[in-house]
Amino acid sequence: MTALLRIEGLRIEFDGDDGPLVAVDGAGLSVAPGEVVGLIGESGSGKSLTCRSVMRLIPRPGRVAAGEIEFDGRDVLAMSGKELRDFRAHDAGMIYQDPFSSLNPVHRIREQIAETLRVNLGMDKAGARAQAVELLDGVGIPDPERRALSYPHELSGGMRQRVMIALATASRPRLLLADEPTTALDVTTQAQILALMLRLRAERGMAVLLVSHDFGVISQVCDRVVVMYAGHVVETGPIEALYTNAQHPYTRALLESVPQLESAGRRTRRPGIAGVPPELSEVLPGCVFMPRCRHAQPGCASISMALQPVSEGHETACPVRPFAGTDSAPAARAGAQS
Amino acid sequence: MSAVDVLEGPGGPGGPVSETAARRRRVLGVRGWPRQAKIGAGILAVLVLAGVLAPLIAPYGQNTLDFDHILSGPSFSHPMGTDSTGRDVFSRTLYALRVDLAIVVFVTYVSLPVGVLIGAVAGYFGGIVDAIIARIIDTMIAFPFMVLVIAVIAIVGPGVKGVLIGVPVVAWALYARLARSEMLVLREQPFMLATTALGYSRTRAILRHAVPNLMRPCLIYSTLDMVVNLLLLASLAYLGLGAQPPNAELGSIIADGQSTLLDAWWVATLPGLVVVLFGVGAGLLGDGLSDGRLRGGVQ
Repeated sequence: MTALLRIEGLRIEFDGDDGPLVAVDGAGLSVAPGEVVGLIGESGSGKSLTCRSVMRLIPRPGRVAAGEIEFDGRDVLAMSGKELRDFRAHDAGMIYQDPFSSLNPVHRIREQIAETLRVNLGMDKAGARAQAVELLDGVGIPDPERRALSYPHELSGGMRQRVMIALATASRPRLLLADEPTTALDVTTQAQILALMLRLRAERGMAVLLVSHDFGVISQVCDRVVVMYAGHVVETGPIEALYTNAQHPYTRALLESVPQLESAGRRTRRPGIAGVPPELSEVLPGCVFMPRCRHAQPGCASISMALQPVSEGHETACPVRPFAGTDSAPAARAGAQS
Repeated sequence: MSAVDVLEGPGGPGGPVSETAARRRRVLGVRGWPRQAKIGAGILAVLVLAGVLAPLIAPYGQNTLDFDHILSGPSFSHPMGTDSTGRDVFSRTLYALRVDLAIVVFVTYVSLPVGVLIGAVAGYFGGIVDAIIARIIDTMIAFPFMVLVIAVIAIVGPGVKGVLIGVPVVAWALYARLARSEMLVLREQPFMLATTALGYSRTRAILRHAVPNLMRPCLIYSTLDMVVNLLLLASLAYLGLGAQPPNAELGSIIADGQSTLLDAWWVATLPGLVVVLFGVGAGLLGDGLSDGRLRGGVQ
C-alpha cells in the first residue's frame, strides 16, 4: 500500500539568539489512504508543528530546515504558491483545538461553508448554499435548515467543532489534519466528534492524522500511533502492538500514567514521569529521554534516535529494550493498583 | 445526540431563541443598544433631519436681508434672532448644518474605508510592508492636522473643495493605525489561519474575513471623528477657509457674530450650541456603542 502522506527526516527550527532552536528533529511518519493515525506526545513535543507543517502553516519565525513531506507522490515543500493553495483547497483539510475562535464571528455558518464550495469547487451561490445545509446535516447538526442561518456564537462548542469539520471537509479532501480537535470539549461531546470523524472516514475513505495528548482519545479511533517526545518520534506501530508490547520506556510510562476507573476511590497515585522534558535550547547527546528514563544505561548517551523494527510495522527508538518479551498492558494495569 | 449540543442563545443557555426574533435584533440592533447610545442617535437624527429639510423648515432664506430687524433678539418670528444685516440666524444655522453635515459625513466615511484597508494590509502582511506603512501613518499623525489641511487648501484654493480633499488626505491615518493594531490581534485568530488552510487568496482573507471584524471599532471611532471633523470644519470656516460668503457655515456664522458678541450674544452663541449638541450626540452614540455588552459576537 503506498502512503497518502509521507514525512521523513522532518526538522523544524526556530531562530534563537544563540543559533537555531530545534523543535522537531528527524521526525517521520506515514498515513495510508483511509487510515487514522494518532500523533501523541506531551506539550512541546512537536506534534502540532509536525501536523501543521503538512499544510506549510508553521507560525513565523519557524521553518522547515530539512526533511521531506510527500502527499500522494507530490513534494509539498517544493510547491509553488498556486500549487500550495490548490493543495490546501482540495487535498487536505484542517481542524483545530479551539472551536470557539476557528469560525469567523461575523458570518453565518452557511455562508462560511458555501464560500468554500464556491471558491474551491466553483459552485454557484444557490447550489453552494443548498450543499452547505446538506453538509451540516451530514455532520449531525440537528435542524440544519434553521441552524445554517446561525452565527458561530449562537452554537455550543461541540456544534462549532461539527461545523468546523463540515467546513474543512467540504471540498472532500483525502486527508484531514485534526490538531487536538476534542481537547476543548467535554467527554460526551468528545466521543461524538470522534465518532463523526470515523464515520466520515468510512463514508469517504478520508485519512485522518489525529494529534492528541490523550491516549484515551487515540485508542478509540486510531489504527496506528506515532509517539513523539522532545521533537523526536520515539515509537510507532499499530495501536494493539503499542498497547500490548510497547518497547520504548517513554511509551510505557505514558500508558502507565493514564488514569483508570479501577483506581477510583483508592488512595493511590499514578506513577507519572519524573522530571520535565528538555528545553528547546538543550541539545542532548544520544537518547533525548535518557534523563527521565528509569531504565537508562550508560550507553544511552551515545545512541542514535533512529527507529529500529520490533515487529511488522512496529518500530522503536530505544535500542536497550528493557521490556523485551513483557506485556505492557498488565504493566499499565499494575500501575493502577500499586 | 442533539441533547448534549443544546443551543446557547446570546443571553446564555436560556433555550432556543426564535429565529425571527434573533434576526430582528441583529438587523435593527437599535433595540438592544444602551440608553445613552439611543439618546445620542436621537440627537443626531434630529440634527440630520433639520439639515436635510432645511429648505422646507427654514422660515427665511439663508441670505435674505431684513434691514428692519437688525440684531434683534430671539423671538417667535426669529427663534435665534437676527445678525448685523438682519439675516435670520435660525435659517442660516439650518442651511449651515445641511452643508456641514454633508461635508463631515463625506470626509469621515471616505477616510474610514481607505484607512481600514491600508491598516488591514499592513497588519496582515507584517514585516517590511508593515514597517513602511506604519512609519507613513506615524508621520501623518505626528504632523499637525490643521496645518496639513490648510496646506492642501492653499494648493486647491479656499472653499468646500479644499476641505473635501484636504481632510481625507490626512484623516485616513488614524483609521489605518486603529485597523492595523486590531489586525495584529486578528491575524493570530484560528479563523484567519483557517482561511489559509482552506486555500483562500490573501485578498479574500483580508477583504471578506478580516475587514468585517475590523469595522466595528473603526465605526465606533468614526462617531468621535465626525465631531473632530465638524470642529475642524468650523475652525476653517472661522478662518475664512471654508464655504465662501455669503453662504452659511457654522464656523462662519460664529465668526460673524463674534464682533457683536457683547451686543447680540445670540448670533455666535446659539449656532455654537448646535455644534456642542452635535458633539454630545455623537459622543453618546460612540460611547454607548463601544459598551462591552454589545460585543456579543466575539468571545
